[in-house]
Amino acid sequence: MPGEVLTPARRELTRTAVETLARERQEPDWLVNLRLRAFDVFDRLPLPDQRTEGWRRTNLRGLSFDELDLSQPPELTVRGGAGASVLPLSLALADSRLAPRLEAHLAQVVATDLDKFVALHYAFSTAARVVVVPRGQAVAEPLWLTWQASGAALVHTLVLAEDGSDVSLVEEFVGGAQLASGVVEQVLGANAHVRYVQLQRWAPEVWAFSTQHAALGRDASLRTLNVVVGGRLSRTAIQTVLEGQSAQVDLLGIVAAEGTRHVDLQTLQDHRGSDTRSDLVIHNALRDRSSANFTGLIRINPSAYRTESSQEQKNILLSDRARADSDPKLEILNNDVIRCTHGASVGPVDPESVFYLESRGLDRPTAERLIVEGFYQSVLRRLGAPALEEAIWAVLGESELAA
Amino acid sequence: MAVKAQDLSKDYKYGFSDPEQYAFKSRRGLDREIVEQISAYKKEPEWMLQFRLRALEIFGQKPMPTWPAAHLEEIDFQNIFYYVRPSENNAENSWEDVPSYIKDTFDKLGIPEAERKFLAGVSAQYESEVVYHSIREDLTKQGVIFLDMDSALREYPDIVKEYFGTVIPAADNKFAALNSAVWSGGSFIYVPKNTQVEIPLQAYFRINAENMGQFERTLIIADEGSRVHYIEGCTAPVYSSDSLHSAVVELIARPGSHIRYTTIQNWSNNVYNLVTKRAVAYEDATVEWVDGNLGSKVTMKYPAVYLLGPRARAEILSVAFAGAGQLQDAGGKVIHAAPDTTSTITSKSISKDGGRAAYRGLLKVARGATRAKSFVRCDALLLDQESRSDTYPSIEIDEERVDIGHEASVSKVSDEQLFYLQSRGLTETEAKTMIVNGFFEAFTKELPMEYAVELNRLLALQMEGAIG
Repeated sequence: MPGEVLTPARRELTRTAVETLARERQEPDWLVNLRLRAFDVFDRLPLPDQRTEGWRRTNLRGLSFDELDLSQPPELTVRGGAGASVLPLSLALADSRLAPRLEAHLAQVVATDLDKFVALHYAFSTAARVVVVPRGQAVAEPLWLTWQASGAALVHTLVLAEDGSDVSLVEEFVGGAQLASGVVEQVLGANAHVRYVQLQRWAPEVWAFSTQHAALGRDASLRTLNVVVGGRLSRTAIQTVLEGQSAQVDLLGIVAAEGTRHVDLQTLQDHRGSDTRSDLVIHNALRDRSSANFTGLIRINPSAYRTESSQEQKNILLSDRARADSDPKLEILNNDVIRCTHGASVGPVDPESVFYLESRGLDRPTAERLIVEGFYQSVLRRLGAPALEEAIWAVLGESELAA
Repeated sequence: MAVKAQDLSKDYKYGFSDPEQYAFKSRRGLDREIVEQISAYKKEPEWMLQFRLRALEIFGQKPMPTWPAAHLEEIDFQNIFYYVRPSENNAENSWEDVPSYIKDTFDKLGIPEAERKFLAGVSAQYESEVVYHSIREDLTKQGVIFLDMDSALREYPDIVKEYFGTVIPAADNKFAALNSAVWSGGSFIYVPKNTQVEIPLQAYFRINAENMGQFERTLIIADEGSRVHYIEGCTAPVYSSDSLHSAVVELIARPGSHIRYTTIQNWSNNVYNLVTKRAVAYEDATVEWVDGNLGSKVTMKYPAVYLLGPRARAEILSVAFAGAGQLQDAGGKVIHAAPDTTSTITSKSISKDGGRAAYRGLLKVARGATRAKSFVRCDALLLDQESRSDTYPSIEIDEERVDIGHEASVSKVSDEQLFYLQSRGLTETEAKTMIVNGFFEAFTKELPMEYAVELNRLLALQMEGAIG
């Protein structure tokens, strides 16, 4: 634009900018091409609107890419996790043993053309970490990654949990990103056990998008917990593919929304191998004029014999202006099902419980707070790792979860 | 060993057809001229012609619903007869005047039998026009109007004009628009204030001509404090090319009234059954949809209740049986728009021989509908490895003080159950039939006995077809 002065670091959302970025980072051809393909998708796709499948209840009015600052990737602080390696993508690519595996897995779990935000992510992400947990390695102390952002936060996390490994990984997002579009790809080898926790604590004005997919090998297990307490609009899409025989998934979620925040959770429990199990538990508590949407699908494919699967999605409405929508869906293509159930509920804090606590001398706000805490705790406990649960609870504190 | 899909149609109970004898049959296809012809032939008032023409326009503008599994694009709207009139004399009021070839058909369906024993009034829709109709005298004395829709339009034009298309406007969906443009037949019922219709009113529906669509239109108005139960049963002969059934049913439950609408549908396996059913319930009124879906090629049907007055109540009971090559996409919708309204939706579906059954529902609580209570329960039974079951409940809650629950489960016939029943001397087929009957019991126990017996027979037939 004539007369406009760009700061040198400012990147435009153009194909040339993608090429420049990849060249500066000396990325291999396959990655450059991947970025360019992603950019073309980003460029081609319109912003999803409420007629777009999967976005019907997500209102993106007011979202713009015009002022997006791609020059400041978020800063990362790493704690714990001895035994696992956390490498920036550029370093991982320089490792000759790791490089071929990156080519095999990067953008293979979450495809580049999934939606406009994922495409944007792949085209411009410079905050990518590769977490490798070596074969047979049990990581005792949780690996805690804290991302602090101010510009665009395009954080990519690729987890390679090798056969027989065991790790707890927490990703925490804080600060005032303009827009966050994160992608988490997890590849679990045979008998690998991963607990993945994402704490979404963005400032209240952030548009937050997160896409998390995982592929599970034989006898692998994944417990994934998403805690959403921040952002202006938060959309988290989680897909787990239970490929290997006897793979197990617990898909957990805790949502605390206030103000006019909208929280959208989209989940898929995709059973392909036989004897697999997946259980989803998502509890939302909504205040003020906040709203939540849950769209979850259990798909039991013809190849998935003896599946056990469930969805439990509960909403507590703490204000008469809050709103909750719930679409728990089942698609069953195999009749040899051990268990396939889903349940959803919406309502206020149980008046009987409040009455009971009040009769014990508590005032009403305290009683409601305790009930909501219990509602969250019942999800948190399903992580099955008491020390980790405590650490998460301490971080979230009362201010964020039960204000 | 499993017998293949097509064999089932051989056993299809009502899969006979009579030689065609029609007094009037429109040419194939759909355009302005056809619609004008239908309206002129029926000597309709101008407002109805205008209603039809507007609907035709809307039909042309509305896109086809896109749902790949239903293959709706296979419907060739230009290859359908939109209006067929079976005989010159309409609305015979005694059995003797009914043409004998039609009587034969009804004999096979058992109507005279049922009437003698049980029925209050019969309004059997043979093709697109009602040809037989009777109301017991006491009903007439009570002031209950039970007519075919065409007669109602002639005899009670003011009431029809006041309510027709008010619950389901032509623009509601593409198939409602189609029905609005070419509708013919169906029932009209008006129950005056505080009148209890003790015995169910009933109509049989039937398609008899190849490629002939059936677009009946039913409107029931229950005035304050009244009560009525309407039953429709559908059968159709088997034909090689696809038939289309696209009905519109509107129910208006005034304050304190009670309407129950029972459907047992058993279309032959080539029928597209795309029906829009909706009720409005005012203060203290109750609407119950009891909906059984067997047969057809594709059924898409989601009876709806709008709870518009305080303490209004909705109950939807939907069962579906999807056999080979069939898609049963059924469900229910309830909109809570007033305080203290309650609803329950119970859905039971069975899939067999590669059939696909889906529950698709909507439960919506609008702001201000305080203390709304609702429970949605979906159970699915998969009888073999090739079949499929889908559940798509949709819940939208805009109000805090509500009590909303939803549960669904999917199961198969367990080996333990089968083993137990077989150890008691039942064959595998008998055992499975018994389990299926038990699964549907919540539905069958809501039916008048004759229907329950017939349904159980139909289920047994469906089960036998599959297991050799």
